[in-house]
Amino acid sequence: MSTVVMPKGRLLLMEPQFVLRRTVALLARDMGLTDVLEATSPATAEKLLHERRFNALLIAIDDDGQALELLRQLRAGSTSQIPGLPVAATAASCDIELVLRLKQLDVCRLLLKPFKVRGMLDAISALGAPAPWPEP
Amino acid sequence: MTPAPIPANDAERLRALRELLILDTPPEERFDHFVEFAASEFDVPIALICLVDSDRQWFKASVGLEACETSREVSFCGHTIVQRELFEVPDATRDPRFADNPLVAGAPFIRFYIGAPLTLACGATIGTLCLIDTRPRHLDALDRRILCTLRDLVVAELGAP
Repeated sequence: MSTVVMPKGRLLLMEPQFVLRRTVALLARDMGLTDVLEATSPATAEKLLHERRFNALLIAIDDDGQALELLRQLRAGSTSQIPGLPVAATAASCDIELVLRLKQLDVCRLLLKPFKVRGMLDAISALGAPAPWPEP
Repeated sequence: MTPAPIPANDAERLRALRELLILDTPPEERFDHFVEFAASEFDVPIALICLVDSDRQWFKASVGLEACETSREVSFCGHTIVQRELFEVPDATRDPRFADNPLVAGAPFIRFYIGAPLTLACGATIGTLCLIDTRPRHLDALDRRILCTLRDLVVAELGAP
C-alpha cells in the first residue's frame, strides 16, 4: 500500500454499504490518512459538497446516474468545491461508456468490485496530495 | 488438545452476555452483514460472530458453517476470550493445543483461525468475531487492523437497541 499520508485533509466518502463505509472511514482516520465525512447517497453527498469543503472525494457510482450527475455538477463548479477536486470512484461493473464518462469527469482512479478495504485506503492515500485548499 | 480455558471472571462475563438477551435469538441482518463482509474481505470460507456461553459457543451470525453451536471445550473462541488482542493460529495442525482438536481433525477441518475478542464497555469479553480457513494463513498488519475495526463495529452494534 502507498505510504503517502494526508493528515490534515478531509475526504468525502459516498458509499451506501454501511459496513464498508464505516470500516474505511474509521481506518482512514485511525491511520492518519485523512478525516472522513460519510454520505450514504448522492443526495447526501451533494448537500455536503455545498455545505463543507473537502480535499478529495471517493464516490460509489450507482446504476441510476445520480453519482455521475453529481460529478458533472462538481466539475461545472456548481458546488462549494474547487472544480478540480481530486476524485476516485468505485463501481460494481464497468463498460467502455462508463470508462469514457469517468475520464471525461477527470476521475483519477476507478475501483471495481470485488475491491477490498485495502484498495480503498490505497485510493484515499493516492488522492492525498497536494491539498487543493491553501492552508490559512 | 488444550481445552478452552475458563477465565476467573467467567460468572460476571456470562452475566453480561445474558443481559444482552441475544443468545438463541434468530439471525439478524445487522449482524449477518458483518460476517458476509469479513468472509469476502479476507477471502475465508468461514466467518462467525461467536458468543461463548457457559458450556457452548453459539453463533449469532455465520458464513460457511451449518452448525449453530459447538461445545465450549473444543472451541478456538474460548481461547480468544481470555486474550486482550487478536488470537491467531496460523496452522492448527502444527499447534499442539489444537492439532488433535475434533474441529481440526474432522469437519470443518480448521487450519487457520483468528479471533478478535468482543469486549463490552463493562469490560466483559462475551465472544469473538472470527475468521477460519481450511488452509494455513497469516494476516498482515493492515488486515489485522481491518479485522479490529470490524470487531469494534460489531461491539457497537451489540450495544445498539
